[in-house]
Amino acid sequence: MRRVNHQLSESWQPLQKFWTQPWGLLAAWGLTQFFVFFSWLFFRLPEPQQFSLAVQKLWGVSSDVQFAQKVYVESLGLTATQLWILLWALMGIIALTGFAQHQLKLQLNWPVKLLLVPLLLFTAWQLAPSETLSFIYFDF
Amino acid sequence: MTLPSILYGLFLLSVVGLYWAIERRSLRIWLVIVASIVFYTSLQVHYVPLMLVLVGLNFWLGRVLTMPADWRVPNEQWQMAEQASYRRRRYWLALGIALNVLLLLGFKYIETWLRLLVPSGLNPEIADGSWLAIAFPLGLSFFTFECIAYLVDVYRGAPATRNLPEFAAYKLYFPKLISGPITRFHAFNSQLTTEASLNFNWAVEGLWLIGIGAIKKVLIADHIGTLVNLSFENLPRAGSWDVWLAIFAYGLQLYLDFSGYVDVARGSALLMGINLPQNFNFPYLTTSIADFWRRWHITLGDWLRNYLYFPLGGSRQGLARTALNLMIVMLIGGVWHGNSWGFVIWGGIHGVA
Repeated sequence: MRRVNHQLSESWQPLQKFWTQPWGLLAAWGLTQFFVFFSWLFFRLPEPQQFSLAVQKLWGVSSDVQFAQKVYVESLGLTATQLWILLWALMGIIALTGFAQHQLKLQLNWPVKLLLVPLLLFTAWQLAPSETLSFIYFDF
Repeated sequence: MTLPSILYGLFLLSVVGLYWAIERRSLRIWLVIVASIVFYTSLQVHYVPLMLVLVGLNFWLGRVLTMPADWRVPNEQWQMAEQASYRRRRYWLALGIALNVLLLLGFKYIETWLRLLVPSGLNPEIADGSWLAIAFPLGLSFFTFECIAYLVDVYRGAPATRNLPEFAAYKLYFPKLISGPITRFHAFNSQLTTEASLNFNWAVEGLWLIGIGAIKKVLIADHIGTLVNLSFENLPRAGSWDVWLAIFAYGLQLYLDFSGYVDVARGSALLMGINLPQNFNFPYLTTSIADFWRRWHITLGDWLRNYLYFPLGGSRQGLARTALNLMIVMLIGGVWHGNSWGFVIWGGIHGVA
């Protein structure tokens, strides 16, 4: 798809111009990440009976109250909306860090890093969930 | 012992302390080998002999690949002898690659093959398949990828090492042994064999990476993992928004889990004065799939490009052939992850995009 778009953009100037505009960049980012995140569904549920059930539920299935109660409220103490906000905030932090490193060329200096290391390790130790999950890539 | 954990922290501190206390380079290499074997033993002791045999086998194959043509042949037969030597090297390379690939596929697909071989109408205890569950050797995928890269590099003209301990230290190096980053021998070995003393900046950077890796993995990815596991376990009751939330969460979990591991691995290596390659560079900020693969699991992307995509012809033979090559590479990348249709579809989506 990318190569086809490249060929089309070369022969049609407005399309080429669109991808360099802010809205074009946003659209390119959205499309790319949609494909990437959608593909993770098959990565997480690799068996056909698993992913076919998930695919059937991608559009038009309303939420089950018991699901929300059990998964979000009882287990995590949050609502679905709060979880969406938290995950987007995490995405925002990743974007800000990337912007600071790539565009602004900002890095913490060594005394700050050295001071933060014990704090990071202590925080990870204190706030870790009771059961540490194994690394996903250890399975491959 | 897994990383990051308190036990791993104590193990790492002991190894780093001993590493810098020893001045002789050869002894440092032996320390790395012994520490790596101890590390792997703590995870899967029964596969340690397999790993050692693979190290020896690939070392030997590398040596065979660089054996020159017999110089005693008369002048008029030299050209033929040289051609025979090229042919022989190609056979040895093919054999080396085949051995590594077959071993990897053997372990990945052994359960599937055994299920096909054993008729389900037999004894119910046999038919339930529980006896077929054979643990996959941890790190074997990354191990074989590095071995293939080494053999191909040697075939293409890079010097084969004559030093077995150096090769073993490269192959077994514990920070990267289980999940990479995939490292090439010559880049790694030049760092391992250089007389170096502890560099303060690298040590701080190493500690920083371990701290960041611990936060990514233990604090964020594992908490997100709870949500992901619960969501997918209760899939029959989930609505559309719940599924999309789980997909979004899993994407973030996967990135933070894997990049957290790599941060700890790179940080551990930096404490020993070894700079392992970067494996992630903000992949979720990319605006094309090609760019995504330049910034997600970078060392695997490089491996697929150098040892699969370019030998297939790369992008030099027109749009259709390029698309076919990309699709082949991504499908193989998918199949490498596991023997389920989901991985094939995952590779297919990336190939199409």
